[in-house]
Amino acid sequence: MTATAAGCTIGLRGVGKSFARRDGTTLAALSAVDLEAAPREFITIVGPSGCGKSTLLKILAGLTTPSSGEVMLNGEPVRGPRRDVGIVFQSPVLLPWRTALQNVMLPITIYRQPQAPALRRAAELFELVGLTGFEDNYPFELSGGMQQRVAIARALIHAPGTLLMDEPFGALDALTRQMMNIELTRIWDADRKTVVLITHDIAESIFLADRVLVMSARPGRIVETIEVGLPRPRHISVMSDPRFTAHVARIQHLLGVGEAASGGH
Amino acid sequence: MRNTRTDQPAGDGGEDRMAGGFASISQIAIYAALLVAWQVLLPLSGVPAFVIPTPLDVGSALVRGFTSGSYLHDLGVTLFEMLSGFLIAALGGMLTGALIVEVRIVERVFYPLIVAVQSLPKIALAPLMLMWIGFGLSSKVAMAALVAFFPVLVNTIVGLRASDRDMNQLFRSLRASRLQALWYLKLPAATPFIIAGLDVAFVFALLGAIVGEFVGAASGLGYAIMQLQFQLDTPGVFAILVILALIGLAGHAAIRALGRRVAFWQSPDAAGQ
Repeated sequence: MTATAAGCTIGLRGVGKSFARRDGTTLAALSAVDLEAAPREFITIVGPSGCGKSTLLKILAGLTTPSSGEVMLNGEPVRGPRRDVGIVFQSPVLLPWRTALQNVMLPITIYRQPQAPALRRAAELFELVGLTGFEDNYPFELSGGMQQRVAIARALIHAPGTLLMDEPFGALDALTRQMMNIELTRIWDADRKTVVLITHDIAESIFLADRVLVMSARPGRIVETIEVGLPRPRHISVMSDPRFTAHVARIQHLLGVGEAASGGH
Repeated sequence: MRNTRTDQPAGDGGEDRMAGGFASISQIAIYAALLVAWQVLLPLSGVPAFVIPTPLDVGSALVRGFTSGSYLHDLGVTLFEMLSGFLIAALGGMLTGALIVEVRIVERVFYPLIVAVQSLPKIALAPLMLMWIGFGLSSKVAMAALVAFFPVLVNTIVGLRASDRDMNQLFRSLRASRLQALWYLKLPAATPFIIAGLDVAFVFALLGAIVGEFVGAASGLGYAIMQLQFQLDTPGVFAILVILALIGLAGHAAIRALGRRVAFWQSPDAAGQ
């Protein structure tokens, strides 16, 4: 784990994915995606729904095999799910019969790692995600935001070098989502991992990232990479920074936001 | 977590309202009124007591049966038969269900057979059981187990296949072994279904035991019904029916209580999320 704790590198070269349709034709979900992440870099991928960004994350996680191209993680080709990666899904996916702590400990149990040191880590993680005191609560006793925080702690319990997040706050209301964004930057500042986070929220993609990759609609490909270049640690006030608003405008332009509406006049 | 709760076993909910309602005074009053009406109106109708007895006749038959000790012996015999059969069916049904879901070859070979036997009225096998296993208790245990086996099996299969897609993906991402996925995910996810199966199986086990006794036995509540019927002791028959109904209710309550413990996240307060 010490090698990965320094942070993983991620490399994608010419990754494409197509699905067979029922009528025999193929549907290209991703086309020729190149991506490189340095250790401890926070990358966000923003794009319209249906652009294949979740597929891209599943490929990174080893849950889906690409139709073409190469996926490298920490110098090794990805051939399946890996244990040096933590994943946060769109929904918290907590087991309802396990307490918050038992849910966080699930990877340790599955990996058959010693419980005692992991329990100490879990206590730290509960503190980090602001859930100290909720260890023995069941998921149905927690709010949506709290459930997703449990899911983040679970993704971090085995100290992975890489964290993959698939629209982790997509199901939350706008206010909770913003709080979770601030929370996540704080968590990341405390323990920097290589992070790839998928989102369709433009402000979120800039606020969290070192680099934003903008994806086009089907077949999904990366149309532009934006270096955010805003100082860390970031506060909510960063959103009124002129560089931030310039990035927003640029991404909106790339994604064609507003153009369809103005074209009608 | 709302999406994990979409496919719940049927037959849940609604009963709680009933369970709470049992205590309500108006309901007790209605049932008491019905009993009184039955007691008063039946003699006026001219229907003889050996066709339909009055509640008081049934009550005195119950008291007589229990004080003479004859019911206690038969009750013990039937309880032993049905509970043994139920236990065998519960363990066998869960184990077979897990094997069918987890081991492809078992599914290929045995599933068609099981479907075929399932569509057969199992009580038609009672005479064969008697011939094969004998006149004693074990043929009734076998009948109880046979009849109760299928609801447990079917619900176990449905339950083990019901685990949420996202959760399966989570376990895949953790590279959990099949055994780990079964133990930590599929089995807990299946418990509400299995409990629903056990609930049905309990009454089925009672049915199997009674039918077994009908076909040939020297004791038990089913045997007692036959004897009392021959003697045209209809109040006695009704008294046994009351006992059978109470056994069924007690089992239902016990299994529901078990369900609230082992599948607590499915309880109505958990649904509030």
